[in-house]
This record gives sequence, C-alpha cells and structure tokens, in this order.
Amino acid sequence: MDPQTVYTLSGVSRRYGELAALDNVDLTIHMGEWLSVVGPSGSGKTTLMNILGCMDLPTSGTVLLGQERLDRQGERELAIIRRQRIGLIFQKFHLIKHLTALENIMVAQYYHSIPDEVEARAALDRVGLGERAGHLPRQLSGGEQQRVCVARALINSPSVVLADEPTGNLDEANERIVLDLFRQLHDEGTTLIVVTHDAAVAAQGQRQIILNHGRIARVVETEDYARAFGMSEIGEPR
Amino acid sequence: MPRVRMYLRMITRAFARRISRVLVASLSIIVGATTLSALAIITYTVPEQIARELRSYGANLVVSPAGTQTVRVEDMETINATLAEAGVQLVGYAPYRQDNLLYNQQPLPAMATDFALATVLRPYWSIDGQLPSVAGEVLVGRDLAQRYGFKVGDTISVVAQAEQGVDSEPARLTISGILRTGGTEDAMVLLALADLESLLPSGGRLDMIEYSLLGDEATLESVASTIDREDESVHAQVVKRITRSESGVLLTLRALIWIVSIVIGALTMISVTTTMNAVVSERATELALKKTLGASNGQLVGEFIGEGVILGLFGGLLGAVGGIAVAGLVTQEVFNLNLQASWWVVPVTMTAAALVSGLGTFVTVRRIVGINPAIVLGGE
Repeated sequence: MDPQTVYTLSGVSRRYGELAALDNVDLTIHMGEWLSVVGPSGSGKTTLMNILGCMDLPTSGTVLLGQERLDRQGERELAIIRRQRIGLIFQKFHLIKHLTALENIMVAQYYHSIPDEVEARAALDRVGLGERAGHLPRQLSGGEQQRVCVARALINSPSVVLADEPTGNLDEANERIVLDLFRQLHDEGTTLIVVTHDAAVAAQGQRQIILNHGRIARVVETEDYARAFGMSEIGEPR
Repeated sequence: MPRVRMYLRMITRAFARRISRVLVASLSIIVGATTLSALAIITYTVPEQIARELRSYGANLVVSPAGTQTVRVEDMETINATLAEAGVQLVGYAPYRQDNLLYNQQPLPAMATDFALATVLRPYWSIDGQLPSVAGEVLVGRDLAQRYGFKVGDTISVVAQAEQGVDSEPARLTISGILRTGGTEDAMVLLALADLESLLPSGGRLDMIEYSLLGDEATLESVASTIDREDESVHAQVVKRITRSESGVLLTLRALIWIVSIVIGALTMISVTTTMNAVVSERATELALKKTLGASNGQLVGEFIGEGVILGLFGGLLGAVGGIAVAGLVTQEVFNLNLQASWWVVPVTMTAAALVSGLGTFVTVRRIVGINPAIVLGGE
C-alpha cells in the first residue's frame, strides 16, 4: 500500500433496506490531495462523507484510513479516530449557540486533549476573526461562522479535513474567502475532501469524482493532480 | 486551561446564556422545591404549635400523694425543678386542694387553687363575671349556683368542718363569677388556696398538682418515673387519654405531610425527566456536533448531568425562597402563627433539588447514546 494514501475504499456499499446509497465504490485518496465530490441530490455524496468522517459504517466493503480498518471499528473507536484525525466542516456551520467563537474552537480541543486558549485565538487569527473571538454565533455573519468552523476543524491538526457543502449557505464574497482558506490549507499539505454540488467550488479541487446513484460515474483529474499523484486508470484529464 | 475548567465553563455557559430556556426547564423544579420546602418548614414548625394548641385539652400529668403520704406546696417547687432538669417544656401547672365547707349546714364541695395558674391549664373555663382577684372572692359552679340561687356579687357565709367536729368561725365569701365547665367544677365552689388555708389550716397540704407538658407519651412516662423516684411522697401519673389522642393527631398530621411530600417528589422527578428529555431533543444538533468532534457518550452524559445539577441548584434556590414565603403565609393564615424564616431549608432544598435534577437527567442517557450524528446533522 502506498504510504501516501489517506483513504482506501474497496467495494464499499451502504444500503438502507433495498436502497443503495453507495454501491460498490472503489476509491483511493492521497495525502495532501484536494478532492471534490460532486453529484446530484441523492447521489450518495453525504453518505460517502459520513463514511469517510467515521460517522457511519458501510454495509459491505472495506475502508482504510491510513493502515486502520474503519469498517471494523466500534462507536467508541470511531469517536477516537474522529477526534484525533478528522476535521469536519458543515454547510449549516453547527456552531454551539451559547458558546463564543473562541469557546467553540476550545470545545474541539477539549474533546481532543487539553484546551489551549492561546492556540484557539491563533486559529481564529488565521481565519481573520481574531477580533471576533468573544462573539456568539448569532453575532457573526454566515461567512464568519463558516470561518470559525474552519478554525475549529483545523485546531487539532487533523490528517484530513472533510467539508460538506462548505459554501452552500454563503454569498459570493464569503465563498471566495472560504475557498482562499482551503487553498492555503491545501498549499500547506492538508488533505481536503469537499462535497459540493457547485461546479465552481468543485473545480478548485485537484480531482473531482462525480457520483450518481451511489456509484462513481466519472473522475476528472487536473494536471496538478497527475503531477502530484500520477494519472489514475479511470481518470480523465480536465 | 485544565479540562475541568473547560467543563465548568461549558456547563455554566449553557446555563447562563440560555436563561430563558433554563427558566422554562427549571419551572417544574421550582414548583416542586417550593412545595416541598414549604411542607418541610410546616412539618417541623407547625406540629409544635399544634401540640401547644392541643394542650388546651387540659393536664397530661397529674401528681397526687403516694399512698398515705401528703403532697405539700414545697413539693411543687421540687417537681418543677425536676422537670426543668429533664428539659421538658412546661406549658402550665396548677396546685389543687379539695375539702368540704358548710353553707346553711349543707355540704359545699370546695376546690382551692391558684387561679392565675389554673386558668392557664384550663383555658376552657367559661366564667360569667370575673375571676377572683382579692382575698375572699370565689367562683361558684353553675350547678351549685342553680341549686342555691347564687348570683354574681352575692356574699355567702360558710364554715369549715373542723376535724374534731368543731366548726370554724364563719367566713364571708363574695361570688365574683359563675363557672361553667361541663365538668365536676360545676358543682363546686372554687376559692384561693390562701382562703381555704385560713378556714382550714393544713400546713400547705395539696391533694393534686396538674401539669401540662410538651412531649410524647414516652417522654411523659419517663418524667413521671423520675418524679416518683426523686420524691417518695408523691405519685406522678400520665393522663393517657390525653397523650394518646394528641399523639394520634400529630402522627396523622406528620404522615399526611410525608405522603404529600413523597407524591410531590415523584411528580417533580417525572416532570424533570420529561423536561430533560425535551432538552436533549432540543439540543440534539449540539450533541451530535460534539460527537463528531470526538466526544464520547460518557463525556456528553457527564456534561448533561452537570447542567442538570446546576439547574437543580438554581431551581432549588428559587424554590426554597418561594417555600419560605409560602410556609410563612400558610402558618400565618391557617395556624395564626408568626413563622421565623427557616433559612436552613435553603441548602437542604438546593441539595435535594440538585439530586432530583441530576437523577432526572441520568435517564436521558439512552437518548444521548442514541443520537446518530450522521442523521441529526443532516444527510440524504
């Protein structure tokens, strides 16, 4: 196995009764890659995100995070993997309403290890919200809230950041700010997996996988991707 | 920052910054705590007042001569000292001496006492006229007054039956009041001890001393034994008819209050459980998010119990203050008693409410464990 591989999915399916939300998916995600997952509603994007984010398990197939078999872990072990290795960003932000921006970031530190206010402030500074540390989520704009989420996702230096429709609730200006942040993260070597239905956002990734009816219908790879990881057999150039 | 500080920060922020929700959630605790603390105050203060009220039934301990011995006025002082040493609360006491006088050669049963003391012990005495206030004034029982046609203000001439068969010098007694009791006193003439002593000198002999004491039957029995032991010339006896009915009333009252308290406690627990379940549903997104951040079920349950305890302390504090106010109102309006603020009830109620709330929160564990972040945080 390539040591630079973050995720390796083999024959992964997720069924809800007769319905296959994911159907026999094979996928390899490289360390430092920016992968966009696109597809229409019901195509299996969020199910894939949930499995990659250790929030759900496949009904069949294997999922490796590094060397670790996720599909064999229990709830407790998955929680430990989430806190140590994964940063999550949601479309609806999901900040804790009664905690300030700073405290929302410290909560992630609390569950990971030891809360450190200085580090949490630095994370807010990094997303340009140092001055808003003491504000409650309702006192922040949508874009600001999403930047707090980005800071929260990064605070524990995860191996991979998963973002589910991160710009879905943002205006164009804030979308640009968030994508700029993602670009910085990617340049610093963070593995980014962004689920989106927005073609412009998807185009920011080095590689796009297009899902349809729970299957990977198409893979689009950039030259940048090919340079970094080599062209895959099923990939097509963009 | 230490983890415990962050834990406290999270649960106190959840409390302080959601105050309107907290007030709604703590309403059941406040109502329960108010009722229970009011009942607790009433349980511990009102029965004592009721016990005092019940003392109007009359004496519950009677001291009489042992065998052929004699009880004297000095014995009364000794017994009072014994009671004080035993720590028994004395509501009242009264000495009595009974003899026969002669009125127009007709026997006139007489009872001598200290009127000031006797009226405390026998608050049910009804007098047409006045209590005797000077020497030579007497009360005449209603039956006796009807038989001889006595009226208030009449002066009667009586003699005492001397033991050697020689009558004393006649004494003129003024009737200051007609006594109605429904008891044996209605057929007697009641006069001051000193007046009877002047007619029939006896060296301070008494026939009976009645006591009204605060205490249950066991306490009174113990006191009676002590009196018997310390003064061989007297015999103390508990009036069981009185003590048992008093104990019955107080026991029933306390049992009633306990039953009501248990029912209210159970209802509060159910209410808290329901409220906390609703809070879990309301905050499912937050809980799911924390799970995605890696929180274990144990950590989330710990946070919720912490919030429950704070909620209980808060509801308990408001409830205790409310309870003191309600208890004050009830005791004033129902028992006509001015209650002193029972501040001890505040920490007791807060602790009890924190326990109830903490336990009530514990039942939400299953709901917290059952939260699936993939479903709650939205998906396909």
